[in-house]
Amino acid sequence: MRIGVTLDLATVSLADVPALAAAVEEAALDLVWLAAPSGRPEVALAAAATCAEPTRTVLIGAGTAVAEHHPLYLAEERHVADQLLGGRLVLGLRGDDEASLTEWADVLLAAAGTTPFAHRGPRHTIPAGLPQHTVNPETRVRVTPAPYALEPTLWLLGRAAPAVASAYALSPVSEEDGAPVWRHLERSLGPACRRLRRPAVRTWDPGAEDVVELARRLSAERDGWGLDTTLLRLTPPPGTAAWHAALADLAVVVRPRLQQERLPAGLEELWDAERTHQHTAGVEREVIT
Amino acid sequence: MGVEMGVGLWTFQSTVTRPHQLPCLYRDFPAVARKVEQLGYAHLWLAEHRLWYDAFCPAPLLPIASAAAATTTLRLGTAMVLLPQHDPERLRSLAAAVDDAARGRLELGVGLGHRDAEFDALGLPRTGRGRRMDAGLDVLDREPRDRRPDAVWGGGMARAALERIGRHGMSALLPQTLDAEGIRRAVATITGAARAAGREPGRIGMIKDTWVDVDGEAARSWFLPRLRRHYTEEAGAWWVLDGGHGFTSPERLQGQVDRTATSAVVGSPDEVAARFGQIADAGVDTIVARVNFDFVSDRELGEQLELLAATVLKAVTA
Repeated sequence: MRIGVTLDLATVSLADVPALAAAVEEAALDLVWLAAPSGRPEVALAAAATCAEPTRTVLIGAGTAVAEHHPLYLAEERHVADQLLGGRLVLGLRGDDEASLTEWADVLLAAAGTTPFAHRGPRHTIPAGLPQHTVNPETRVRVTPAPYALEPTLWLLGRAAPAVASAYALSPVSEEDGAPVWRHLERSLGPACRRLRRPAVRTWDPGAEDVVELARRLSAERDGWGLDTTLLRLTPPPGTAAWHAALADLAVVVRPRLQQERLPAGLEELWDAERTHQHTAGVEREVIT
Repeated sequence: MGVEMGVGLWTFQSTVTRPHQLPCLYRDFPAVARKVEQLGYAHLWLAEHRLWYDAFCPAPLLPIASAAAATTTLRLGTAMVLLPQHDPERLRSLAAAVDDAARGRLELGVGLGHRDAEFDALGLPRTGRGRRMDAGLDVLDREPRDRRPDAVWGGGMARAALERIGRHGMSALLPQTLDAEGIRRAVATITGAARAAGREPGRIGMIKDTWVDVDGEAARSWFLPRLRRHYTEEAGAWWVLDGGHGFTSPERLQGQVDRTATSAVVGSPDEVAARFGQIADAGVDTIVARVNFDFVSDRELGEQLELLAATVLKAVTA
């Protein structure tokens, strides 16, 4: 299972994102999910771009949303961000209205190809073919640059996500129980489901839930409906000592426990004993210093 | 002279003249920005166009966000974001986010755009671009402002464009073809419009195609033919001349290419510094030396940035 950490851009300054993303990468976790503030979906890809140099390997997720403006802006910015990130971009698109989410997903998928395309949707016509445009008019457009990745990742969120995910064979991000959604997708897509990741957003409060309990909770979802990518909303404020400690726990406690179906008897006990020892030694070091 | 000097224009193109691996152009950009900062330039500028074979960057604010994380003092500008092609509320929000990432170092240049195909893809009539520019500037200039008015830059040389710049208290990026007298008239127009609107006039900038070599004649013989080829393709394919694209009016295209080549600042360090001095004396306080073109290799660009910084930058900012 891949483990990611979410950053809420409503509360985190973009100037702080690079260092926070680097910390997630340094902790050897898999993904940073940058959730746009409500009403400002464009902020997510700008935040993703700030991670281009300070990180080298971690996947960068940008949680954006369908909006009132033209979807070509998002298509273009997605490709540029993916180029900056060397193909590490995961785009999340939120939509509650099925027609709108369908149209935006359609435009994004067409734009990510490397051939000119035309789009006739309920809201947008691309190109518009306005009569006053007479200098080299085009009947199909090619969005450039192409994304770095051959098949750049597009995940869907919001109330319309399950229906659109089924139509386009895309992954919905579960924000509640993923079981009913994935039962439906397995029925509608059949073996094509194999191609899809099964991500979910989950919250973890280290003060209220022991990290081993978190591992058990995620393990149950993995074995239940196939959760394979967890985006964890951590309750400690990003950048604090408690947040960094939570990253370390995710890396050394949760992640190893979720990689295999089960572990040989005695291994978890060894890890727990070492962790207790390291924790005690750490406390002693703090007391001494 | 005491002017500020920056460099441009980063466009992330892979052209017939010099095919590039786009991932390298984008991946290396933060390091390039850091080098520009270390060399002492005040700012670095990017341009925007969309839907073209060479992958001209349609979203320059994103590479700027990436460079913001790699630099601390360098100001990062757009020359230009094509404001009439954008939803202004969205652009205002995106620019505010990038300015946040850059801790206030974004210089937002906005221009009109001119390609029918770009407007048509977005469902916007090119003929309404002036009105859309005015409406967009009203959004960017709305209280509470995200940034100083003079951190927004406008282009153009028509009287209406210059008055618009002054009215909003914006800074100006004047066309490089203006001579000293043209600069003085433009500054007077902008200043008059600003005063009439009760605003402080912003800064006066100019982007100049620039090439310097210790041997001035070598600079001219290497750079100018390549610059002419560059503008022959760009103006031929894009610029609207006599109601069609440039290649349909060969004589006018030739004239446009001649004008751009004549206005370039090319020569020895002393020659280039002297030309920049004349521009500054006419009222320009911000010079952007355009040294990054599709025909310039990475090695040549690096050497040019170093030579320009060691000679001309020192002279003009002394």
